[in-house]
Amino acid sequence: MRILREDHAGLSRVLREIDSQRSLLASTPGAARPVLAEALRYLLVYQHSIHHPREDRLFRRVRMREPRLYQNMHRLVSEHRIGQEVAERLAGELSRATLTQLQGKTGQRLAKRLHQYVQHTRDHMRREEAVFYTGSERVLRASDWTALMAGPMPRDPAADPQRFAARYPRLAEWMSRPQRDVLGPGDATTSPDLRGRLEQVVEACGALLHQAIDLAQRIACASIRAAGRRPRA
Amino acid sequence: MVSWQTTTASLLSRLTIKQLLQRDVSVEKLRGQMGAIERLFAEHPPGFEVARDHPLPHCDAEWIRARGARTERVILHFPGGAYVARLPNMERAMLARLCTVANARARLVFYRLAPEHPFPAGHEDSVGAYLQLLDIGIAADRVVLSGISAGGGMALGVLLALRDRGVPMPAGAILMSPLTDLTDRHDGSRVSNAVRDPVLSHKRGMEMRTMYVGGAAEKMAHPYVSPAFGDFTGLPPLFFQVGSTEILLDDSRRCAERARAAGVRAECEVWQEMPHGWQGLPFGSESQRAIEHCADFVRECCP
Repeated sequence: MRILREDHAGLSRVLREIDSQRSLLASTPGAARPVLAEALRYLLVYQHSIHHPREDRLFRRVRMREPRLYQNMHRLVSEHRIGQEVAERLAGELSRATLTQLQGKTGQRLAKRLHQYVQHTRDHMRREEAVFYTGSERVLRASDWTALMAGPMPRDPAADPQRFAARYPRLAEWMSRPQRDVLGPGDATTSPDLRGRLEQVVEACGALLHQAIDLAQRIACASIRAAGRRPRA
Repeated sequence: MVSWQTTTASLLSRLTIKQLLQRDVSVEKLRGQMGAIERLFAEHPPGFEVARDHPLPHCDAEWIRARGARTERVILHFPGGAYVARLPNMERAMLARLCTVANARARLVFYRLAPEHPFPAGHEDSVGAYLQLLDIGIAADRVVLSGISAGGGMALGVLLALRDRGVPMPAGAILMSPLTDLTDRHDGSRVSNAVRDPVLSHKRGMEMRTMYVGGAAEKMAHPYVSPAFGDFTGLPPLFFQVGSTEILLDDSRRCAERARAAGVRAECEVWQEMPHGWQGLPFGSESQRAIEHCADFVRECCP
């Protein structure tokens, strides 16, 4: 179970990078595409080809021990297949698109679908941890774990920075950057100078508004006090 | 491009919160105004239970957990508010979203506030809250610290204190736009973003910072007060998130650089044109995305 949880740790790190890079796809496709391509390759080569089959073997063991629990896991099994198909399609479309296409509507659509894929994978992971992992830990016996651990157990390359950098150099380089910009450049139609002036105007208006409120409050208080002092007729 | 929801929130903040922070208002009035903002948030996040078991000796603390959820991960959170005020409902709502995505439960610590309780009261409360988690049997590697704004600075100060006391370190720390330098700096982003920042202003900053240290200006450079001056050796992985137009941008950058120089894994995400504390906004796609990035980090360092 620890190996599966560590796989999720590596997956989470790469999903975060995909989510950051996809927001840069339309503005800097030349830089973002190779990173996204490597990230999707990592997902297909390790997470979909090794981690998910590992979980599927565990699902089968759980079904043997507690068929009722397996009912809730059926959805997770189908999500593995759907996730792999989506990742393969995204990788294909990303490699086929020209840089000009990525800067236009194609890039925007691709970025949106990448986001949906990231969301789907995060939701899937959360459900697995909440339902399947806790359930497996409860129902499986030591003999089940011994059987599951038999045979080769390849480990997540994301857990070993050197091995990861050798296989996915661009992705590793981005992931190790001390600072990363998220969301890409701002609104290009407004110049920074104009925006700065607008912000100053808004701030000045805000200050005036608050001064006016203060003044009105003082006048109101003074009027109430004066009314209180006035002798009754 | 920034969403219209966040753009609107920035504009409203520029017209209200920033004005308030620039004006000569008392702490009581500031707390009252923040209380008005609080009314925008539900007291209890839907689907979550807020429990007050495991009380702390000098301050309130709450458990925030999804109903029926079973998880070992704990997020120990320190709220923001310049050490003088706070927005508990907003913090609860933000933590509920973080716990949902990270499959975790949260411990929200309402450390004592200045000026009634100057440093080290709040700092000791926060260190005590972490030690209490260990005492009740939660493993250090199942705990991730988090904090927003002043709470981010508090989280870093707590890490430095735990390291100095030789206490087992938590698995990591999430630092959302942390305030890490209370000395009177007038350079870098504090100057270059002074107009651009739609929330914070350092016009009255010195007054508030002085309240936190009880008037003892010499304490401002203490690493537990201003972690930017601390030695980060031996700290767990750190994850900073900050907006590019914040006056506190350099507070995050400097700490991330110092941490990396000390051999600590530290990342700094700079979110373009996000206002201070955008993670707490209950609307806007950027807020949810930022929370999801934080949750990814929780899963990475606390598998």
